[in-house]
Amino acid sequence: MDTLDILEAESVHVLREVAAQFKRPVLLFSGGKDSLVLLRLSEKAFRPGKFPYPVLHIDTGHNFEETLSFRDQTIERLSEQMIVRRVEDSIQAGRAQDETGPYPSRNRQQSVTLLDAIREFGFDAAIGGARRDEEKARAKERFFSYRNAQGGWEPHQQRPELWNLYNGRIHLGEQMRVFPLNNWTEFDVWSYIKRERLEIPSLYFSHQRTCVRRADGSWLPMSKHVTPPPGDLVETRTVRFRTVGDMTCTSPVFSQASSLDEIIEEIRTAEFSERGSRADDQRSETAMEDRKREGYF
Amino acid sequence: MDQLRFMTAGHVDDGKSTLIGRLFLDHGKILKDQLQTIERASRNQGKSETNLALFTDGLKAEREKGITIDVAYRYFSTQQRKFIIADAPGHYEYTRNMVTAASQVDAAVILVDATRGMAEQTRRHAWLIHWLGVRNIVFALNKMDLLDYSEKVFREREKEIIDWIKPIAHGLDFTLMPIAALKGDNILRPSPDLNWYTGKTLDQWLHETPARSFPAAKYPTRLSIQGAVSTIGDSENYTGTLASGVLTIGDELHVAQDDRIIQVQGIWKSGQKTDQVQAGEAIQISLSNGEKLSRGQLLEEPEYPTKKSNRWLVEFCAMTDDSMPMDTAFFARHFTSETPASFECIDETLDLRTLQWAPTEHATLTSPQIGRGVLSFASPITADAFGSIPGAGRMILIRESDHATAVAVLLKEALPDTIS
Ligand SMILES: Nc1nc2c(ncn2[C@@H]2O[C@H](COP(=O)(O)OP(=O)(O)OP(=O)(O)O)[C@@H](O)[C@H]2O)c(=O)[nH]1
Repeated sequence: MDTLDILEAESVHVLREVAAQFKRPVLLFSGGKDSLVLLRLSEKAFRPGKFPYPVLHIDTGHNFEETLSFRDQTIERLSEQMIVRRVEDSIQAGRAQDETGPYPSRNRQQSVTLLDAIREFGFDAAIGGARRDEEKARAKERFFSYRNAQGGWEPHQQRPELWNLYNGRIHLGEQMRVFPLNNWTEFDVWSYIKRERLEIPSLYFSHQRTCVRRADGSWLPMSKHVTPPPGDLVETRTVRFRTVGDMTCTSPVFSQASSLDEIIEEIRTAEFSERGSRADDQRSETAMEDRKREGYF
Repeated sequence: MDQLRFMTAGHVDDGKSTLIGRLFLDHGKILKDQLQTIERASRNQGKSETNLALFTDGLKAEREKGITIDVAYRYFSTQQRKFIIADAPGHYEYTRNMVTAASQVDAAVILVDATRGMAEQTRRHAWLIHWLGVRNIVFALNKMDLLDYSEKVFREREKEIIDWIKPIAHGLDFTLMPIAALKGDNILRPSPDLNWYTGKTLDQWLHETPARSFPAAKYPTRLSIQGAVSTIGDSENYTGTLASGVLTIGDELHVAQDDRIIQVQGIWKSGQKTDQVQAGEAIQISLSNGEKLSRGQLLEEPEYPTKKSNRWLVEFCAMTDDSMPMDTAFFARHFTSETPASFECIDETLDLRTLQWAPTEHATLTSPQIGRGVLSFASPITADAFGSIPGAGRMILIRESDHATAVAVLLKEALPDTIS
């Protein structure tokens, strides 16, 4: 078994444990490469049967248009069930509030919508595509990651997790977050996308795009959600995205990589980490840990 | 490419996190933004040197207290190998997290502060790592810079470790080396200050040590059923991860729990039909003659059956903060099955100095107590002794009241059933 075989077997085992140990699991789908890999792994685990869980997308309203159409096509091709819940609705209902200023983000607000959706459907386990190599708080994650009744993470109180014996026991109202891709690196994900010939949104490949450089030097794609103040530079550049999150928190990287092979080569020699391009992580040193404690995945 | 999963272990402050930071730095694997982050954080701590330990300490509490609380996983690859690294905490109260790390790896780097020698926690870590089945271990005597790279002190420490480990050395592949993680001595490059040392660098050891502690495919076949997948018509395929041995189309297997023989008609892995699979693969199988299976059933090679009993002699490591009375109710998870269980008796605990088992009067379990006793199950367990098939002789005990993953257990021997 090579590296990808080992990782695939580990993830498939985890997905099957979720199916067996929970009454109402759900798979969180962001439209990005990691969740596309999760869908393929679900096929590996359960075909020719159906997935034993629906797919949930939290639509922040700041998604790239392309992500949404790609999402719909993908789910239709798989003939699986999808649930969409919108941050906009949480804001309308007074459950969350939009940020103000030139560059408002809805990153934090999506935890509210996610937790509401989990409550609405009574989900007891939510599968996510997070990887330990992405970020230092994620580097501490278990495969079965226990969440208290408020959906929060208690990182200093994690359950031990031995071998591949996963403890999915929870009390009513508590939930589990499950991370089958824990041991995958960005490089592994791209190698797997290539091996499996997965289709991915064209945002990942090099293209021309109008972007804005903010006062702190970071770049964002131009969109209707941002109103750059006069000093910020608006320019068309050749870019691609390394992660596909919201338009308001995912920075483009300058890149000529227009094929899978070129992307794989680019990652192999990268000087910056993947989430270095995420404005949401740069807000403070423990930005990710803080959000995870609040129910973010 | 092959892959090595290894961990760092040892007493608090012996340099585990620093070592990993050093490995990454010297391999050019600390990315620019990551380096900026830890340089900024080092300055905030008022340090003049970059605090390499910050590279793995990710939680707020860890950075504030300057200690590792939970395992951090790190990844890097060289031309030859992909490495998955578990940086385990040294603190006594977080031993359960060290155990978590040790259960996932095939090799371990045990750090020893050369200025002090083995601490009690070093012994505990080393013993638990060996107990959990890790066979490739290096003792890295760290902070040699503080000893002027003295060979004399190194040899003393070496002797101390070798004498101590004797009772468990059989079957272990262990070695010792001097390093200074902070300075980078003998990590990637041999150090001019250690010219009396002619062995491997740590990086060499990591590249050359075997990637697997056990050749799982060479053991008798064990497949525990995870679940069923419906196929065309009303038939079903069964899923599971092959724990040991190989499985070939046409094989006849014994269902350990209900004494049937079934025949494997089809095998799939990674969505493809195949003729044969090896231990470690996540598979689906179909059966001849419409035979049915359910989750938790264990398929075994008929010539090499498991043992079946509702009483097993076990060794264990307790993992909860509070102490548990001996009659605590557990669910014992073995492979994909769960059975109510509780201790019948706890006979002995391990003396970490002498590595001898000593009788105990203590009838409670507290983290990180290491003991021996008899576990009694509500219904018979079909399993193997850890010593015969490691993958089939281990379990976790989940406390019934709060669902804590409370005890790590290795099965030693099936005892005669009690009449229930
Ligand atoms: N002089 C010297 N100091 C070192 C060396 N390696 C580590 N240290 C120092 O020892 C202290 C502890 O190092 P850490 O890497 O945080 O120790 P640790 O083993 O990870 O500690 P825990 O994770 O909390 O158990 C730090 O101040 C390091 O700078 C070394 O080779 N030489």
